[in-house]
Amino acid sequence: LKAQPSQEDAFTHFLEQHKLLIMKVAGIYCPNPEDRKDLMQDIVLQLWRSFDRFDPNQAASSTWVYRIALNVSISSLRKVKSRQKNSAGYLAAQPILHWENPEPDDQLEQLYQLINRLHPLERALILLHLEGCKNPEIADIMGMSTTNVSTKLYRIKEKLKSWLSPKKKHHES
Amino acid sequence: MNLEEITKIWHANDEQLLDTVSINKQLLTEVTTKRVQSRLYEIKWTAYFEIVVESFWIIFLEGFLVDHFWEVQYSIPAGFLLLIAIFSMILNGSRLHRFYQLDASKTVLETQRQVEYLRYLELFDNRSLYVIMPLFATPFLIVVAKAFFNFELYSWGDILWNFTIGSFVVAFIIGYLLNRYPSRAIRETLDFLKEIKETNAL
Repeated sequence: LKAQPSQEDAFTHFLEQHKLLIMKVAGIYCPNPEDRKDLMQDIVLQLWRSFDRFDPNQAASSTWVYRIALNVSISSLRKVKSRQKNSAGYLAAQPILHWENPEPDDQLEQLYQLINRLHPLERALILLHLEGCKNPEIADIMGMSTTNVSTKLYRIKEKLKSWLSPKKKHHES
Repeated sequence: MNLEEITKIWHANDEQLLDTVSINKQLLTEVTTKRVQSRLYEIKWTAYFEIVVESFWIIFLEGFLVDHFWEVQYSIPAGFLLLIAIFSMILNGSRLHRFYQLDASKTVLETQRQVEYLRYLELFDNRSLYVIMPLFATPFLIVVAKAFFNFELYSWGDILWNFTIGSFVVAFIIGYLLNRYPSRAIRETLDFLKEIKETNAL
C-alpha cells in the first residue's frame, strides 16, 4: 500500500498548515462557493497524490503547495465540464476540507470577482503578490524570471487600477 | 477600493477563514489508502484503445506487405497505410508519455504548457481524422478488398480513379475548412499556449 500510518499523519499535519492557502487559491479561480468546494477537494487529492515525492530540501512547503494548487486550479478552470463530472463521485459528496462560510464577506467576494476578470496566469501572479510572496519566490513558483514577474505585476496593477477608478469616481459622486 | 484596500481586504479575514476550514480526518484516512486519480489532465481511454487497434493493424499490414512485396499495385498502398499507422501510433505513444510525465509540483508555466499541449494534440488528432480518412480511403479499400475478398479493385478502373480524385478533393476541402475555421476549443487552446509563451518571454 502507498500509505503508511506515519505518512497519513504527516499529510494531515501538512494540510492543517496550508488549508488557508488552498482555500484562497480556490477562491481566486472559483467565484461560486459550491464549485470552490469541489476545487478544494481536487487540490487536496492532487497534493496527496504527489505527497510522497515532496522533498523539503528542494522547495519550501508553501512553494510546493502553491504550485500544485495553482496547476490544479488553472487546469480545472480550463476544463470545467470534466471537473463537474468528476465531482459526482463519493469523494465530492463529503469534502476532505470542510468549509463553512458563516457570513459571506461581500468585500472579499467583490475582490474575487474583480480578480476573476484577469487571465488565469495573471490571477496566479496577483494572488501570490497579495499573499506577500517576494518576486524571486513568485518567479520560482511560476517558472519565470524575476524581471518578468516585476513587469507583469506592474501591468496587472495598472489594469486593476483602471478597473477600480470608475467605481471610485462613482462612489465619490 | 484601491490597491492598498485590496491588500487589506485580502488579509482581513485570514483568521476568520482559518476557523471556517476543518479537515475531515476520517475521509482523509480513507482517501490516503486508495489510489486517487489526477485531475490535472485526463487521458482518454481511447488513446489506449487506439494503440491496441493500431498494433493489430500494423501487424496485419506488415504481413500483407510481405506477401505482396513484389506486386507494387498492392505494396505501395499498403506501405502508405503502414506509414500513417506507425505515425499515428507514435503520436498516441507520445501523448501517453507526456501524460505520465505530468507533474503538478513543477512550475506553473511548465505544467500548464504541458497540459495545454496535450489538449492541443488530442484536438489535433481528432480533427486530423477528417482529412486522413478520405485521403487514405483508396489505398485502404484496395488493401482490404485484396486481403479479405481476394478482389482486385483495379479492375474497376475508371470508378477507382474517380473515387480517388473525389476523395482527394473532399480531403482538401475539409482540410481547408478546418484550417480556416478552427473550432472554439482549438482557438482557446492556442490562445492559452500563446499567453503562456508571452508570460514567459516578457
